[in-house]
Amino acid sequence: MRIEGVIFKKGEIPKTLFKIVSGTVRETRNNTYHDLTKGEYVALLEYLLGLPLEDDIIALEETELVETDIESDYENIIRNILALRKIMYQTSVDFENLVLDDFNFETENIDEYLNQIESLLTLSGGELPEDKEKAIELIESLEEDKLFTKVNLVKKFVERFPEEQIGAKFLIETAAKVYIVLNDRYVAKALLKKVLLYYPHLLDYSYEAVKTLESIYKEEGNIIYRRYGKMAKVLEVMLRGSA
Amino acid sequence: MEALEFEDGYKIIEKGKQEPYVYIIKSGKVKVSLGTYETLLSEELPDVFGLEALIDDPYTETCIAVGTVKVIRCEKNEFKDIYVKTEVGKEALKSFMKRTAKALGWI
Repeated sequence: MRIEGVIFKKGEIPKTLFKIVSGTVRETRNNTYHDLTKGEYVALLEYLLGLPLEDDIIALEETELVETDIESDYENIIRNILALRKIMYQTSVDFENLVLDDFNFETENIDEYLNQIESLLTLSGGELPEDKEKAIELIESLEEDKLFTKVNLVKKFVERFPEEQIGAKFLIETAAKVYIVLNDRYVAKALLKKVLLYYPHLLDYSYEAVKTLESIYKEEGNIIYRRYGKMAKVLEVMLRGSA
Repeated sequence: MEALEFEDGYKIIEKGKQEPYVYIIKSGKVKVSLGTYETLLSEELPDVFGLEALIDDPYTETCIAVGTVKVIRCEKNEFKDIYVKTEVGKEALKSFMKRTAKALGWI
């Protein structure tokens, strides 16, 4: 059959196994999507295990699906499941040591690196209010012409209030502005790596930081982008499963 | 196809090794390690491991006997001919998917 739009609805337990002949199907879990293409199966996990879908599954373009079953596609289903396992192994990062071992600060020692950032950032002035709400208000009020002040205050904020999730948001937003407005990759990358250092438990922000790091490294032609690409894959898989 | 018996601690299949055998547990328990995820399979379903053999891929999990374990070891074509269209085959695939999803943290 040819379809565009919703294939299965959120909460539905798929009763039919569809194989994609052409087109693209998007599965979404925990606000993170994964696109399926030719030869893959729609909602294979939920179909096999009889689980309700966490979100709608959508054909992004006109997509041709063919109805199949376990018996007919037994070996190909195994291949699809093994492909998932291979992603897991290929991107196997020791998550216990992910922050320290796998962020790859090139040849620099992590402390030296952070000290350099520290020196750089203290070039910019700005005091952070002791009160958390006032600090947030101040940071949010700063415009692009005071970007380095903002960088400095965000850095102080995450150090003073490491448990505040908004710190991760500040780091990512500020990194993006630094990159776009000042085209300063060095500071942008440092801010994004701080997301990973301070908020590795916040998968969505870590994913965003890693994806941006991948883009920056790729743009500057640094092969390290592949490492961040792998990390993004792992985080994506984790996000898909952590809804 | 042959019936085999393994003693406690025996490594029945090992991740990375390629062999043409699929195993069906007849009695006892088998510890499966897939990445950092570990689980016990038993004869209840009955459970199956080594499905990678059906597509000539290396095993992706390591399976170790817990206590004495009795299994049926099938050549890949024997499993295809006899079990794929049965409940054993279906449950094997579900269990394979479930272990993968668990290892990935999806469920």
